Amino acid sequence: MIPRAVSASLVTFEREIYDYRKNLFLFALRNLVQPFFFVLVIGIGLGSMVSLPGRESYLSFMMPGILMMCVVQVCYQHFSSEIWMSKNHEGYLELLTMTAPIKPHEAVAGYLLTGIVVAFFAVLCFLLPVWLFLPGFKISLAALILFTIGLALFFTSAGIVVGVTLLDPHNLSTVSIFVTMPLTYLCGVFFPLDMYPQPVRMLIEAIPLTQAIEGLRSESFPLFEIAFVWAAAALAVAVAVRIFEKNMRL
Amino acid sequence: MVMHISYDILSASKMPSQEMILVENLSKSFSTHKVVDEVSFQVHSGETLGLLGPNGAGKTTTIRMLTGLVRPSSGTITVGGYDVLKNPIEAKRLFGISPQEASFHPHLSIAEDLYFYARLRGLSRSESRLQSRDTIAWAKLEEHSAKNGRQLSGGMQRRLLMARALITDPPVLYLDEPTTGLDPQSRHALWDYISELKGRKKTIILTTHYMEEAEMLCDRVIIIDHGRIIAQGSPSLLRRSVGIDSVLTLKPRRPFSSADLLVLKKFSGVMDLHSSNGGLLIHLKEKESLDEIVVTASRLAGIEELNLKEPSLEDVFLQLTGRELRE
Ligand SMILES: Nc1ncnc2c1ncn2[C@@H]1O[C@H](COP(=O)(O)OP(=O)(O)OP(=O)(O)O)[C@@H](O)[C@H]1O
Ligand SMILES: [Mg+2]
Repeated sequence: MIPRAVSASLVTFEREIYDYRKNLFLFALRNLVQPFFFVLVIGIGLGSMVSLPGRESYLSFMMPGILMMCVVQVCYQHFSSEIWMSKNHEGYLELLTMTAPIKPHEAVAGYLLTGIVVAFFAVLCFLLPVWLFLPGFKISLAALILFTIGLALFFTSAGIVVGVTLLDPHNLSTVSIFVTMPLTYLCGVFFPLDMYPQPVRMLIEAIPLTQAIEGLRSESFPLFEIAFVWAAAALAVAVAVRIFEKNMRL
Repeated sequence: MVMHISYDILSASKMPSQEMILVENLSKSFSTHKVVDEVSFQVHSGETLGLLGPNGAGKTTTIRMLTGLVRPSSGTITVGGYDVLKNPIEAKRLFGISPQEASFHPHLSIAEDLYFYARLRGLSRSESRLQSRDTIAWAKLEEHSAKNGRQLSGGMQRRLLMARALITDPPVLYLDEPTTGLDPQSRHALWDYISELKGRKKTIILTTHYMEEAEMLCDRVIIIDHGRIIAQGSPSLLRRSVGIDSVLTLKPRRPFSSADLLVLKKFSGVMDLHSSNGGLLIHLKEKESLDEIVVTASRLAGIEELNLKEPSLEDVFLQLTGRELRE
């Protein structure tokens, strides 16, 4: 017998993944557009004019940043809109609250699990062509997996919070721009952090995405960075559960 | 419908008595607006209770509190002995709901919709497949099982909602306006479904604006207005309770003047009269001066049509809740 709480979480997961699989090709395409342009325009185009002292090619410098950015985009965008729709358009969350013998945190667990799977799918979508065309590209798989899980938890939680609290769908895209734009350009995807003045740098290093990107670039195994990202993820999950619970009831 | 699972719900519940649903001093305010006000009632096992009331009376809010969607400001609700707030998991296993507002996933078919709904309700994968198939057959939606809920007609959507509510064959059902907006055929079809469920000894709370529906299906009726219970009892008891003995309807040849109405109102036995689209409706406490009323009305305006009947629940409802428009 599977414990009730586990099977309750898996039901949400099963439904989300079923829906996701129906549009898999579209999602794969969507996952690839932004990274593709980053690689093409900035990595190969601009990158050919840039050389970073003491580092490998600009393209391989950028790669971890783009990978982690993928995870952020996919999890945040997917869940903020998915949860918003479930709550305001499909009446699914209402049905869940009224009739499912499922506790709110178990539903959140199902969404988080979906977030992790969706994040790995996005990472693979990007990595497969990279491995194919850039055989020299190397990355620590263990670190990649741990960072992907951590960031997926963090940004799926962020998506849940936004999706469940916003009422007006127009605000969804506004908030999304304020979340993803600064992350894309500030967290060291395109240039090393030493370019920032010290106080700014400290602020930016507090963002889990920055830690993940820096961690993937480091020579040694990024224990500190992984711990940081996971701690932030744990906090975000706790906040998401609280806010989800609060917003499920009228 | 063939049910392949047995929850053994009744033996599992801690219920010593006959009371399946117990609501005590239930209140709900949205900011300062008191929507449900100190409502208490019980529903016995196997009984059908009608919740009647004008628009905005607080029926849906009450049902939402019964399910745990709306958190009561005060009061307690137990279903099968389980407190809905303290033991939501156990309580939810006991009831199904057909909500007032239909809502459907934008691209799941109704077969998939029911499958996932069954999963949500705690059935295993194979049970869910079986149950969704059987329930679709029960609701006579087989031909449409590949469609999305939004592609169904209003009547089919209502049957789908009913099918959802029944997917685990729970002993308690909350039906919030299951027949609103349906044509007579679909309404009669749903009445047949509800009668069948009554036959299966389900405990049902039904809200409706159709008084004939309440008279036909409900063992007991509660009328609420402005969030408060203003009357309750069996439909026949309620009909007697407001003291209307009979309802006289007159269609005059010439319109009654307001002076005419005053004259008619003075007769002993007349409780009140309402004129509506050319006709006159007179509520009588007793029939003593019936002949005089008719003769006088005939003298004043002539009589084209005349009808005397027993009061219906609708008469009682209007008597109790007044005629002014709500909301
Ligand atoms: N979430 C909410 N926030 C604020 N007010 C609400 C909310 N839900 C309901 N109300 C108010 O509570 C009152 C009762 O609404 P409710 O839906 O319970 O009425 P009802 O009896 O079901 O009416 P109807 O017959 O029209 O369905 C209404 O005045 C409504 O505006
Ligand atoms: Mg209602």
